[in-house]
Amino acid sequence: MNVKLKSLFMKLIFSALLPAAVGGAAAEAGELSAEEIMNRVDDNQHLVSARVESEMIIEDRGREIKKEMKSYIRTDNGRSDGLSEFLNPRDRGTKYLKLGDDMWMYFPDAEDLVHISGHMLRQGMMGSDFSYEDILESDKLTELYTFELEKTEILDDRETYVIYATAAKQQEPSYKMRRIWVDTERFVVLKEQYFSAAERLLKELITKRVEEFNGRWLPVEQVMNDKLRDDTRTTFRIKDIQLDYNIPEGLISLDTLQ
Amino acid sequence: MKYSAYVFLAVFSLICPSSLSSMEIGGEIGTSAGFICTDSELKASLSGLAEIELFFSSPESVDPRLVFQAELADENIKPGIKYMYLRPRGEWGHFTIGRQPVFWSYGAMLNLMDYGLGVDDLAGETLRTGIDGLRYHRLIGDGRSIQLVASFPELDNVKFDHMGFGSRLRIPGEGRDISFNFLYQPLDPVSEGDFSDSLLRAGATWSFDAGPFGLYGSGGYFRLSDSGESDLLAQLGVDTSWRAGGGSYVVVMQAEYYRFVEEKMNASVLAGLQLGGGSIERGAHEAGAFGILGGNDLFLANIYFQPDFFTSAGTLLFIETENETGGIAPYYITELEGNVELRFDSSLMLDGGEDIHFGFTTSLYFYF
Repeated sequence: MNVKLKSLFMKLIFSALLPAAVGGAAAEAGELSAEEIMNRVDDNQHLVSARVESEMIIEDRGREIKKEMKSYIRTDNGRSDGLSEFLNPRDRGTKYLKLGDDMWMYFPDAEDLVHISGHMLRQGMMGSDFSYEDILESDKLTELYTFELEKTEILDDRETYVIYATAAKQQEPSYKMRRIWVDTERFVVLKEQYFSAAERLLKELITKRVEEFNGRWLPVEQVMNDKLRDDTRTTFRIKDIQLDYNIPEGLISLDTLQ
Repeated sequence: MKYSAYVFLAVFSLICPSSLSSMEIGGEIGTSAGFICTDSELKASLSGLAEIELFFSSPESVDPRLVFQAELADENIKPGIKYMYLRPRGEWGHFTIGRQPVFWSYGAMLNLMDYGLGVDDLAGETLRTGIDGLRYHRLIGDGRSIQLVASFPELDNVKFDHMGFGSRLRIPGEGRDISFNFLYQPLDPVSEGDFSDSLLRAGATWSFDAGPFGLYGSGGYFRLSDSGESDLLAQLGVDTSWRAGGGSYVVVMQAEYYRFVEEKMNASVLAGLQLGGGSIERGAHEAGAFGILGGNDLFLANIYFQPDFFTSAGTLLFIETENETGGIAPYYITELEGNVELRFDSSLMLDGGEDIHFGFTTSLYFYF
């Protein structure tokens, strides 16, 4: 089994859509197992490289701040790397570099690169509902979770598979449990919930809009809600995406930020 | 530097004429008002700072940077250039000529092995001085790099024995970052009675992850060339964070301690580094962060929490044992809509257990 649900980083920061990416083909009759469904999602979502322009709208108790960014992502031999540069005035030139499980931050004023401490990865990235850990999460969710197909359910007029993911033995993923709603026709993840070991709901991700690109249905607007905080949410919206983008050699590397 | 910005623009427009037509402008404007009480005297203060950067659409082979800066203080407006350089790139690395940032950070609030002033968010101050000079940067694979720097304290009177030199070998890796630094820089007298000298520093900085903690530190050999005084520096720091209030807010804590092992030197010599450039921010150190570096050790702790996504509230604590100086500096920073940041800073400092200094400042910044 080689299911690769892309990390939230890939889907929400560096492409916003990879994890929830989809296939153009409709599902065959509802005889698929949970693993097969996740494989199907993965088969259709695999993007070798992409360039994405996007915005992140962070809302907290009535206050709203917008961040804009452009990102490059690349998946090679099961490892996902990415480079994201913020464009809004407050953060202009600030860059995040993801190399495997490591993250580095570039400060334009100092023109220096700082490694982000491991403990900070659990905290909100750029003051949002997304944590660094969400972004850095392993691509291979099937190595971290086991899946169970709970039922089918109508969600916003779309039929979905509801899949429950539980942390596999001897694995310590960011979230012990997840519940994933997958569109039965387009194989898009339309909703995802993240739970603690005590089955407390920690976060919820909802896909608001999907679009078709070169025969693929991809989510272009998603909302993350940290359930431990009062009245917050972060919307990630793709403004432009170029799939199979020819990323210049060395762009996604420590070298390019020095 | 009076006409140098015009020369820079002229030269760059010749090198890459299309860049000026697609140039963008960004920056920030900030104002601060407050009071400070020292030696039983209460003073009000009002200041402003503006920074304007021209963003060029440059070819891959050259990076230009031009940042203007102006300061309002004591009823005078003082214009200046923060950064102005050209950086040609090639397979051989890149070479930066002009006034430029040179920072060799590793996460410490006080970096005593930095080429610049090494103060990063210490008591609300980050001192980023442009350094006039040359810098060669060469990548040696896997993110590792070598930097060589030569700086001129006085642009119109360059003498070899007044120049500063530095080198950095940086070896980043998974979960760690290590640098080996060598610096030799002239010093201005910091206070009355001091003499000019040159400071040699050689050592290493490091940071790595250790479970729920980030650990960092530095170690180095310090020597004043003329006086012959020398000492060894040892610094250790830790940072961590956690969710509190049922997970509804984040708390971040960072603490570090350094000591000059032989108690012959202190970090206040760094205030005398002749770096050239950046004269505006350079002036901040006398009244601010460098005032607590007079002893041969210093403990710093910064703890803050984020009640919402846009706000940080916390305090810096500092203690040095030689002069028995210590204090706290509480602060509150919040990002408002419309690219505006509001900031409240305060400080209370006990000097030798006798004098009390305190102050309070309100600042607003607008980013565009």
